[in-house]
Amino acid sequence: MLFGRRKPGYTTTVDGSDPEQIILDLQKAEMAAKKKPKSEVFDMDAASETARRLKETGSVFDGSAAKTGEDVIAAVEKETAALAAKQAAASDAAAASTPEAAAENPAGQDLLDFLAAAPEATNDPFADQPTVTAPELPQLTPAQELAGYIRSRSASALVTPHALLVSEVENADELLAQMPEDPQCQDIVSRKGAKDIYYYSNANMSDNYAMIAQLIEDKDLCTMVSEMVRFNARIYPSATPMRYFRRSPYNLSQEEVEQTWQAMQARPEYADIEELTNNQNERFLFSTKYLTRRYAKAISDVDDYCD
Amino acid sequence: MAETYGWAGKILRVNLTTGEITTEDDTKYHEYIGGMGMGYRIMYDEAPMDLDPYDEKTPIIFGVGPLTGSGVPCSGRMNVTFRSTWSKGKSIIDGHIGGHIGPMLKYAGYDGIVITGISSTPVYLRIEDDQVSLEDASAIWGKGTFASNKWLIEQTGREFESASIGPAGEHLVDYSTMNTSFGNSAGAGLGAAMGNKKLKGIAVRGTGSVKVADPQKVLELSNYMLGNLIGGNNNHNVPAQPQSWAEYSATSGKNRWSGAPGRMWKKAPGGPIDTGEQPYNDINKIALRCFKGYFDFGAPAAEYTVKNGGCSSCPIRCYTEYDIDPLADYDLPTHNSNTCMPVLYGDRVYPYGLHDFKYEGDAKLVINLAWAHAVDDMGVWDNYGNLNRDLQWFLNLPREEALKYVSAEEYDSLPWEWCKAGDPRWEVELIRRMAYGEGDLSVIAKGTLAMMEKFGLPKSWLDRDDGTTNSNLMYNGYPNHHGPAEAWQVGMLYNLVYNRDCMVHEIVCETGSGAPFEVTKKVMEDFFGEGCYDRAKAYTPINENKVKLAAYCVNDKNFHDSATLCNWMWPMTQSPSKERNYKGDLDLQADFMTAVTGETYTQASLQETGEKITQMLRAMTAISFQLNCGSANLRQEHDAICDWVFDKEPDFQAFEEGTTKLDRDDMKKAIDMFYTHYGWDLNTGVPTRETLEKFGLSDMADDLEARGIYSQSTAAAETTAE
Repeated sequence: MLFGRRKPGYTTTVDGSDPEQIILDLQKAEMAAKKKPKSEVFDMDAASETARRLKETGSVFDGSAAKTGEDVIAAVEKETAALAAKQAAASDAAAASTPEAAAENPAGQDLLDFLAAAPEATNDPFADQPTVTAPELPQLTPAQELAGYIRSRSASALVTPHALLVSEVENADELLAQMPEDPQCQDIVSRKGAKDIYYYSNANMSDNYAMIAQLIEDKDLCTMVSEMVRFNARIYPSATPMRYFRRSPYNLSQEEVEQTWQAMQARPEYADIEELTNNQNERFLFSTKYLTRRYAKAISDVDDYCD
Repeated sequence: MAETYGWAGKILRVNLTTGEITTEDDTKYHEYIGGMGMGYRIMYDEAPMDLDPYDEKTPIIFGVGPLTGSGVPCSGRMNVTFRSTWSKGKSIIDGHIGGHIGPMLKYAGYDGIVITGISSTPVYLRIEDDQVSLEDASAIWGKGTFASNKWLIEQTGREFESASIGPAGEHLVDYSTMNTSFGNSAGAGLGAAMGNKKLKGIAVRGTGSVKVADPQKVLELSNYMLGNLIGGNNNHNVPAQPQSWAEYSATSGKNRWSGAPGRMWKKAPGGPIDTGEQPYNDINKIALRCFKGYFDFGAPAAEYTVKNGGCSSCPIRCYTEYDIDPLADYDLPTHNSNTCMPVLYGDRVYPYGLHDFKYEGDAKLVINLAWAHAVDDMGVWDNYGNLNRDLQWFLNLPREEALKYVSAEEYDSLPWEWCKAGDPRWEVELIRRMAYGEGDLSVIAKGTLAMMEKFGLPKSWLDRDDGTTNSNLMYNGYPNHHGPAEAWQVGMLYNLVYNRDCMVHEIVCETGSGAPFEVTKKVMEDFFGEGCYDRAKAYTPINENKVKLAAYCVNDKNFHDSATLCNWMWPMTQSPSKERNYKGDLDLQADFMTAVTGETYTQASLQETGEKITQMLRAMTAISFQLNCGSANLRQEHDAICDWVFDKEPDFQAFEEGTTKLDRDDMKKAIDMFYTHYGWDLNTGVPTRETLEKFGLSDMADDLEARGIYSQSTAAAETTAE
């Protein structure tokens, strides 16, 4: 009987010599394990680590347990325990031979001490290279410090609103004005949104993502949706699935998407945005400024797919 | 043996009839790179197409190449050359397998294995460096591949890599595979080819290594590739959803760089992992990019994902590994993993629809992973979805119509209650019947052409404009593989070349990347010339650069299956780097070849070798078509295109914005130009003597001459002139 053929209640005569039966039994045990708390479930990573350690320590474990039908995991654990006992005995013996060291460092010799005491390596290819000392970091100017703050937020996918900067730093405008002149701050750029100016590091954030982040920060959903639908139609070109706005970084709820689209349809400035449904019943928005309905529908349809 | 850099230096020869095992210096095959190229040369030299595919002397040739196991990224593949039993012409064919077994063969010291003969009893081939033996496999004859592979490892040891066939191969089912325990498989009927020889599987352990001429250079090139060129799976160069470092993302939210903030591996040991952002130059996050399960199934995949795995030497982990716990309720295995076709089409055999199991929208995922496990276990191949399409066609027939093809007894013996209930055991039962060749319906797993013959379906059945159940571009029994729908005339041209679905990914990697059209177009035109690249569903007439691109794709793919490199990832055409204007580096694979082998390769020289393999393929195809179809006129017999390609979407004209349909006259011109590019006779599509001699294949030219194939070209020309 093959994997995947059994139906519930299926029974068969157990033949201990049948390797497939052994597999089925293991599978059954695995399914049973699923019902146990996680801590009791067999930990594959731990087992692998065990196997690695066994190998490093000269274990003779070679799969012979599996060959003879023994429980492999039990065999590994048994050998692990034996080795641990052997190593503990060896450690005890070493400690007994050097009682002073044992007293100073009862947990065993520290690795760093061990390395320091080790003789110099011969044929060290790096021996003749001069020791390089890290250069002292220059004192940052206040503008550079502020740039660092903006940079770190950009690295976290956040643009930094001007309002936030002036609320946190007394002379923020003065420092921002210094940045274009400072070679260390050339990556700090800004985008003007509807409600604020947003700063970001173009070394840590792409310009198009900053556009998205600015639209999100402006919190005008109709503008955000229309701008991105037009952008996608113009640049890719592509219609925009409505669920595009459900995903990161927009993370709108379905209700928010629906309400926004409803509101847009009542306003003339969004007259170029239209809806279509593709052949998979998925809803899209597109801009008639850049795409005809016929083409937008065609490129939104999903054709017979293969990998 | 002549061990050189890159190549192990020898191939293994195993005669299953006599049990003789020998090795042979393989220096003479280095001009064919290895893998596919070497396999073709050996097949031609030693097993004329006159032999039946199941003849004792017909070999199966497992081949790896100089890059396999060398540490070059995305090189963990193995090519297997044998003879088709199911596609028109019964010609030369290949299966391709990833995982770890190819590199392990190199570590054992072999560039290939040539297996001939037929064993009297089931055996497996045990390779441990130079200790090679045939061992009794009676204990696993009849077993599924998972049980078989486990047994093989129990017999040999944990350090071995194994692959085995399942019941489908044993029962000589044409749609059959050889599988590893991880879901890697080589299909195209390899299972039956091995089953015919009573070769159940292979277990390999190698303790050696691949000698590399310039390891420092390989390291530098690897760092360059990983830090600047590689993207997600299929080398998609923008992420599926916006990431703060990226200018672009796939608007659809769906490409193969699917890892993204909020997309989780929820069953990861130790707690869920958010795949997060993966800046293109952060090489330590490459493995988080390809969340193939999310690409295939969307959000429900996150609920079941343990992690993502993949092949040797590959940072792109395209095998999502799942724990599909709802399957336990049906007493089916829950730990499933695969990528590509086995996980995509299982849902097609449920004409009454599916139901969700545990999470909203998880029906397709659960059903398809049950399918994947079952086909892998039983060693069933799907012929790039034709198995599923043909089953779908049948299962959607009204009962009275279906009874034209199978008996009422057989029809009613199908567990329809499971079908109607969306029960995963339905598909498992269907697969079981296919694997064991049970009933008339199982002819579907003998091939689309065999099914048509048995059911009395006319040739025009392949002309139907029904994308759901008919994807056959030609009349040869295999379907579209990234053809005109994704790659305009270029896709149609490269689909013409092989004797199975073409497995060419050079263009779909670009068209599916999600990057803006103008960005990709610039990259492609910089490489291949103006006008080579069309906008989605807005095609332009054929031109010289499109023809050159089609030939590049074929030759490049042949190189990949010879080197071996993964054709889903290579070549590095695009880049995720804005600083590079998203342009990749086509020379990199030649640079790796040079660094690994110590011999000088260029992109042009690799193309030349790839083309040589194309010419060998074409010559052998002509011979087998003459023998099995009565005519070596490949233009008529092999390259004829089904009507639906030109007639679909009747509301559109070809070249109109919004359609992928092709134009007959334009395609005729495209084929003329393609033949001219390759030096094939315009009337028959057979390589001319001059062409073959140019590639040092005068022996093949002599053979074609002796078989009267060139006189057919002359006759066809005279007919055309009249």
